[in-house]
Amino acid sequence: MNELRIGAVDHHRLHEHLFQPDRDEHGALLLAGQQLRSDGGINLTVREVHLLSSADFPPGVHGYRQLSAASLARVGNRAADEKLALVSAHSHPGSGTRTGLSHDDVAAHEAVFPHLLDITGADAVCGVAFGESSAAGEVWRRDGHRGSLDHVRLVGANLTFLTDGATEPTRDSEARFDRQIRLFGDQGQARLRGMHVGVIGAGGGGSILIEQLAHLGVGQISVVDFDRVQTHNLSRIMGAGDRDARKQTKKVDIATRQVRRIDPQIRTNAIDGDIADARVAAAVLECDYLFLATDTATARLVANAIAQTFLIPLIQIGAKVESRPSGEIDQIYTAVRPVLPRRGCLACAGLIDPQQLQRETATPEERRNQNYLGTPEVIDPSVTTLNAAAAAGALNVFLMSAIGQADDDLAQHRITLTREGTSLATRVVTRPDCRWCGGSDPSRFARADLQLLPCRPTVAAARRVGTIQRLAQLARRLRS
Amino acid sequence: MTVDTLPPDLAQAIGELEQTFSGRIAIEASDASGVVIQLHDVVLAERWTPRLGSLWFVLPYNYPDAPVYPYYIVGATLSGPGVPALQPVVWRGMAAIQVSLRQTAWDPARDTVVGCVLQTQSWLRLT
Repeated sequence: MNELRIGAVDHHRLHEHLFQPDRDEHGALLLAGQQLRSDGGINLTVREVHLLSSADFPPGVHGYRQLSAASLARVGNRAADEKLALVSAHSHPGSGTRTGLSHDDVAAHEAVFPHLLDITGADAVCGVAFGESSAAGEVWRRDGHRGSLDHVRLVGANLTFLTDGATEPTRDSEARFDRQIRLFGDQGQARLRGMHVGVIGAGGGGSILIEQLAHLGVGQISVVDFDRVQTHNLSRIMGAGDRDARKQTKKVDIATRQVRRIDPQIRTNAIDGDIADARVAAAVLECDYLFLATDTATARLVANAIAQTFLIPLIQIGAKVESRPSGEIDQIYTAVRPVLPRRGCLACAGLIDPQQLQRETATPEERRNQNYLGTPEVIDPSVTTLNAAAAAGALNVFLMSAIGQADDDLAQHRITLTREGTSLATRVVTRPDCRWCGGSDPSRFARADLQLLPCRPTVAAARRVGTIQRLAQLARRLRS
Repeated sequence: MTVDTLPPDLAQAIGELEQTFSGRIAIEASDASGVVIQLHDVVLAERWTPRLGSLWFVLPYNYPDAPVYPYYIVGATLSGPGVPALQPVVWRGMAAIQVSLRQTAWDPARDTVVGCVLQTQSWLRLT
């Protein structure tokens, strides 16, 4: 499968340019990260949108309009510098829900794409024609493979797919889903069946998410957790019993067992590990949607980085009981925090504490040494109904997004004060210099590169770099 | 796609440290926390013996999202009244003085390990 993935904010800007009141054809060049898929296809994740003026998209010799040599050189060189793929986009103003590449479009690709592969040095180059609510294109790969673009995925409050409109949408009318199909139709059910959802953390909140995703009929669920069940978990983990606590069953095994009980047709991946490890992070990069249900700063950092680097929608959930030093309860609240491209991220919202990250990175000995004031370790309260409230809020955001019913405000962060029964919504603003979602060159936004995730390096790699550095020092000393 | 390399941020930070402290930096590898770095010939205040020590620290694998903290002086002892930010510890099998200097408003987009090490060096020269 070949996919072009673009944040809804960037797509809105592109669409406004492509479909102007003059009803003429307009063009743009997009620069995109490249994610090779396990099925042999490629995901192109749009990082930069370069709107072309009429001078850069003049009347063509062979087709109606063509890209100017100057624009191709300018944006092509930037693609090479930034190690990004180039995507040529233009509008078919008369097209609505169906569109296709014209003979002129294909001829232009044949004339230009081999040169663009050379200029950019990228693995792929792509050409796409947009209708008002459709898209068709093709992807040329460096290895000589040439294939159709299956769809354009718009990642926003709603998860939307633009196709060429030639294929009938799939429908799912299984009897077990009869009541919910009456809400979102057999196409909505088919959409859920076609989705791969990742849940990071299979504890109190995560196990509820997983159970509900299975009841909704999501087609594939990947579960990440490194922990085992203990007796004190039994008040909160769905599907866990006394026997699991005695046997210290892995939380991922309980989660997948629970999914199979609910619906054996669902494919499950039990990933027994820490999301901070690159091997584990790599296992969720082909998910359509991610949930984060752990309470560490490290997991927040990595999940947030995955969401912004690979343009995968993420929802972080949490439930918190804050106490005063006297022991009196100060606040009880639940949090639902969607993370979408260019809509602010957990780092922009100040929700990734650098000092907490450092503590989590330290060894047990270092943590003991750093706690020289002897502050006792505090075990936070955790109650299943609070977890359920956060999980339900997140699942409804996901469901509305998946079936295309989300209002734009649903993408806001939402805190619900449990005792007061009130909700506070916050619109997070992207920091221009944010390392994950900002627009500056060093930002990792949409670069789709596993190397750029803040994961633990492998031991072998750390040793090799150490050796290289020592050899370099030795060489310098010998020279001096 | 391979995962068998150090994060680019770490490699860049190591390069900046080597450039700033040329000839005084030694690098070890760590399997869990990050890269252990040793800075030689750090000038210490009068009550340290000897007056030149080694400053050690861990560059965490998720730098610059996580800052460097704390630092360790190895091979020098301290006399006189205690200082709250200095504690004797055993660290990685070595007797060391832990230097608990923390940049509380750390901003990964602006702050660098080189800036922090320079500040720590200045502080040690006066303490």
